[in-house]
Amino acid sequence: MGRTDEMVTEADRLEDTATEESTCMEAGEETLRPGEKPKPRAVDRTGEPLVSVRHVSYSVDDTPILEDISFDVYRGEIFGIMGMSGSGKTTLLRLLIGLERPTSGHVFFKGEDITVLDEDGLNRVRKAMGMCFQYSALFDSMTVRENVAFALRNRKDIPRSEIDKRVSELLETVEMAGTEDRMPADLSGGMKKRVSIARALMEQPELILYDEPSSGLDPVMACNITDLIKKVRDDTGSTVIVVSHDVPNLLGIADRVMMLHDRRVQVMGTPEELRESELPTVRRFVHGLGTGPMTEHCSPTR
Amino acid sequence: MLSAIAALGGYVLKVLTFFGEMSELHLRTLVHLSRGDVELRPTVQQMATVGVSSLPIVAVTMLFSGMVFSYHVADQASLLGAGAYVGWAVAETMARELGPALTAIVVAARAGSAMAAELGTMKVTEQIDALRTMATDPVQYLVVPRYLAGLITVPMLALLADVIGTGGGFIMANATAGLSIDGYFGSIPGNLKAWTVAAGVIKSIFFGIIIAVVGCHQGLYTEKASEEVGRATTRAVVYCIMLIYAANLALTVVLFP
Repeated sequence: MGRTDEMVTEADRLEDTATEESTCMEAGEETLRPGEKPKPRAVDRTGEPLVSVRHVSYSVDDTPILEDISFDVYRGEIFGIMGMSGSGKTTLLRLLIGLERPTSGHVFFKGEDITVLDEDGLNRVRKAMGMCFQYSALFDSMTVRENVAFALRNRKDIPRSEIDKRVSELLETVEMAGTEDRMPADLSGGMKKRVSIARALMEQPELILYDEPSSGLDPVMACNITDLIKKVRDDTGSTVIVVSHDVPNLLGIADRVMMLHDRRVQVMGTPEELRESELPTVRRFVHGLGTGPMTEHCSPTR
Repeated sequence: MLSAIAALGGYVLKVLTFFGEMSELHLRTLVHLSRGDVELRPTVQQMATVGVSSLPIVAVTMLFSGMVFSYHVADQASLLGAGAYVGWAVAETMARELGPALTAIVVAARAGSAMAAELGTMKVTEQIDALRTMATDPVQYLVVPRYLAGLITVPMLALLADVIGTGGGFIMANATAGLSIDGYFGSIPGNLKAWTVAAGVIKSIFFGIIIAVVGCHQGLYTEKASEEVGRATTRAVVYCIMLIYAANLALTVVLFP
């Protein structure tokens, strides 16, 4: 058996193990059992929001992508963002972490307006954030260990052994223990997603942003990743913003969900409120109806 | 007529944008260097990639270039009765022009293209964005090590190229004109000035900077599409060669007034 074959077999074994252990309870039970109410979660929405978006608009070359977006995300909350392809979901996520700047409006993180910060200021704020990209964006010239430890590579105050220990713990959390010395090219899509989650958790962020965490994965693995997102939130108490097309899984784990349509916020509420919404666009999206009032539109960016 | 003017204007704008972006990238790199924002590991890695890995192709290129040049010079010098100066003529030419310029072209083709391809792929696969989300400036982490690698290793390669080219010249002078070691190398110490060698090294420093900044610029400014990585790689080599030759002219005039 060649080296590549061994890697694929090992990759399959790890994914199978993860699949067997996954229950996908939240998504399956909350979505499928008729009449069952979602369990209330202890999210305090009376205090200052962790993230506050106010009247944000974003254009590329005079083409509007987002218009007048406002919402708050509170500590400990899982906040879902859904919408059709090209509706500006990923752009919104990039605005929240300062990868793009809004054309107008403001994004506040812990009360600080990040839209006016320079790159050094943004870097300071980003230390409290982690982001998992749609295609994982692992550094392909580094091992899994180096990828996960990247954020702490220059920290002189933390001994190397401590960093290695933390890497191992995080990989265990995402069910990727034993892969420290693998290269990203040797991992499957699901495994890369898990490593990217571990990497995002390295600096124990208060806010974690997930961009299409289940895209490109089979339904079982998608369910697995969704489980993992909730598990990580429950274990770390971090706040989570998830952008996803995977409506059943998103509604299964989110405390609140916002739907973007025609560059604006179409609706925002609890998963139950969205499921019961009478708005035709929401009904079509949430219940997966093939025809309806939504028309596909493309924006010049993602 | 108007469309021709508009096309010309568009082209001028593109050229100005290119130089503007290059200048900004260079300035940001210098700011990081002035702050001491240098990561040792990636810098050493890049020095190995740019310098050590380019050594074989630089050696082969310079060996044959020295041999060809010596073949012509030895032939002409023998006719003029100046066979004793062949070694000096080859060494002088290597130090002034061929060593720095040919080394820079070879490194641009090998390492400049690799820089554009690697950074372009990182851009397309969102690895550059991932760096930014982890509070790491891509210029500090990616460009500074490549800049230092170009700045340090290209002059070292050029010095080696001078030696290899001159050595190659001897092989040919010995084979065709029957020059001995003493007859060939004996003319070099008294005639080749230290400044000539130093000026070649100074040129190489500028060429190394050009290779690093152009290669990194083309990579970082790659559009987010796979085919753009190939285009960026090609552009990196073409722009490097054009700028190296232009800079060579300017530096020659300044360094050898």
